[in-house]
Amino acid sequence: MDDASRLEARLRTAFVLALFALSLFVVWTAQDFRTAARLFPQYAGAVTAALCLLELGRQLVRRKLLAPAEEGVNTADIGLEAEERTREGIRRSLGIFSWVLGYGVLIVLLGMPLATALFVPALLRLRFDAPWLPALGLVAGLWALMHALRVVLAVRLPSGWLTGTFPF
Amino acid sequence: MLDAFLSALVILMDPFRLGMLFAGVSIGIVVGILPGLGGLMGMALVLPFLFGMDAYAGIAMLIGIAAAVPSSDTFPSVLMGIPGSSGSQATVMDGYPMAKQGQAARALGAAFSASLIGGLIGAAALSALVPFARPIVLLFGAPELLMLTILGLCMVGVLSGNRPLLGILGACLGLMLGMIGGAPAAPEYRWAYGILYLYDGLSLVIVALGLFAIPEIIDLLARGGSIARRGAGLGSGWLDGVRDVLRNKYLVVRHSLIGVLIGAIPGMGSSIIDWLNYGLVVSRAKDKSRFGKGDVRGVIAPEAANNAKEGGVLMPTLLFGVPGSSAMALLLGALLIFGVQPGPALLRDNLELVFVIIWSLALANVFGTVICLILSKPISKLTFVPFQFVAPVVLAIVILGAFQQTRHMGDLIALAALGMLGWIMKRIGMPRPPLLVGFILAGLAERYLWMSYNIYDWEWLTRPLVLIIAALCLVLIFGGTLMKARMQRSAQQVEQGDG
Repeated sequence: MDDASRLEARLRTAFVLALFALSLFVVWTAQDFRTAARLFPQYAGAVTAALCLLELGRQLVRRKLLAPAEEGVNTADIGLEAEERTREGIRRSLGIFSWVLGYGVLIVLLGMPLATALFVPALLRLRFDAPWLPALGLVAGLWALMHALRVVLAVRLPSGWLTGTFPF
Repeated sequence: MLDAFLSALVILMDPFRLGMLFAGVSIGIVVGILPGLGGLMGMALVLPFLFGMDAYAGIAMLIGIAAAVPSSDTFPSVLMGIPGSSGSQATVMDGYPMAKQGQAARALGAAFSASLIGGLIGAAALSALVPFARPIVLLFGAPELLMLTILGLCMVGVLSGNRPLLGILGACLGLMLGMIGGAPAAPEYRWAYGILYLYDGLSLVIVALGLFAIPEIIDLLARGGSIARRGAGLGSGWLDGVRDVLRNKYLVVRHSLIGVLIGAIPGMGSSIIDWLNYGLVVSRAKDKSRFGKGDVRGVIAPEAANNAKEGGVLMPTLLFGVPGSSAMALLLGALLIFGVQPGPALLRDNLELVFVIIWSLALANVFGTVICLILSKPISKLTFVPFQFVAPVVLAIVILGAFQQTRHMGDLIALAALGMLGWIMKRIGMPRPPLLVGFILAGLAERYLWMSYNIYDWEWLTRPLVLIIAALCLVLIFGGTLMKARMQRSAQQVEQGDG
């Protein structure tokens, strides 16, 4: 088993353990609800907990047998490239995730139009070293799109917490 | 019945509705071409904008997206060897070798023609079933409908390839997320902890966008460069492809019907249909030597079945309210947005809407094929645009779409949290579509469980149809996994080839 597969297997085990804890929490806390509200959560939670144990057992057996991670064509979801499964790939992906989260924080603080005007050039210039012209062109295009959505489809743009404090 | 059939066509011929259908097809073509942005994301993107829209127009738009993606996802499969969506994986096997041999145009021509015929057969099969649907659905009471929702969950688990247990666990997680907020059978708020935002539960749109759109955008950005890293010219010879289809007309019809049948089983969906049909066409062919090296039959069979299955997946979706695929789960959500209850009541109260859906499916296939053929060259260039220039636009639309749910900052927080969940699930190889289907089915399953328990106590478990469906669940969990493994093995054998 290579390093990436081992990392993936460990993360999967951690995820199943977390799901197991969540299902127990659901079963436990559902006791306080009325019968009609607790019946389904308790059954679903119990089935989930049992399936989690089954999956954990399966993983344990596989590791004891030192069997390679089950490979095959993933027909259920979009798969990752080999390089993306490595620690470096995960780190790079997390870096981009933090950019996206930063955009979210900017939107919450400054509102959608201003946040977009700051985020897009910053991402393109600092992360991708893109020229200014396409960066500014994209901002202009996005502003036009937002305006069109607001006018034509009555879409409301998120307004930031600090928007009211601006003098403009 | 005939009145409803004809008046549905008149309804759809309204210029605005036809325009919305056309817009849906256009969106479907774009998202189908960009790997990672499948029909599910396309439908999730437009879902927030459906509020207040005419129901027929909104549904036509969604059907347009659903019908166009199985055609347009052929572009990256053939031109770049990258499946545009899970439904076009098998097309890569022979389509990409054809492109490498300079026969891309022939492969695309064959794929689009087969898709068109398959799509029309799917629509015809769906409309043929409607007259018989009423007596069938009357057999289904709350216990049987509960079992069908469980069947849907089981089948989605099967879609998880050789990890069915992980898929079912994903569906269970979806069920638990779906329990947050007001209980459907009692005046009780569950796990809302006094947070007003959670009282109504999580929004389907935000769950879909968070799970699918955010992780894809992040991964495509992290990968850097354009979506397509290599490509081949389109070449010429579209008509050769069309002629190939005409020469193999029985093959097209046979695999279209198989596509409809498999599609009608909830959860089987696109992920298995292309492999199944590819395996079948290989196993039944007298001369197998060209498969995996550029045999046009390896393109025709999965493509015909892939489009025909849209008619099939609509059957359980419309007739029983059980989504036939994750994209159909979104369609169910859209029907609920328009105040339409899917399932038996739909046939009784909204027969015209059912036929509007069928007409939309047929017309969308025609529009989709024509547009794909006309716009092949310019559209294929989109995949060569560096993704950093596409990502801000997609990200902004995703955020705007999510924010329209309650217009509360909680939408953005939920989007980020679910984006993180989707990203983690993708990293650890846990399929995400089951989670979405579990989330959708949570309310239905809980309602039917409570009704069954209230009306029959636990005796509902002894009803014959319940037992049959329960047995079907077990058979399909194990049988589906084995069947898929066999088909993949057969495909891999062909790939490794005779040398």
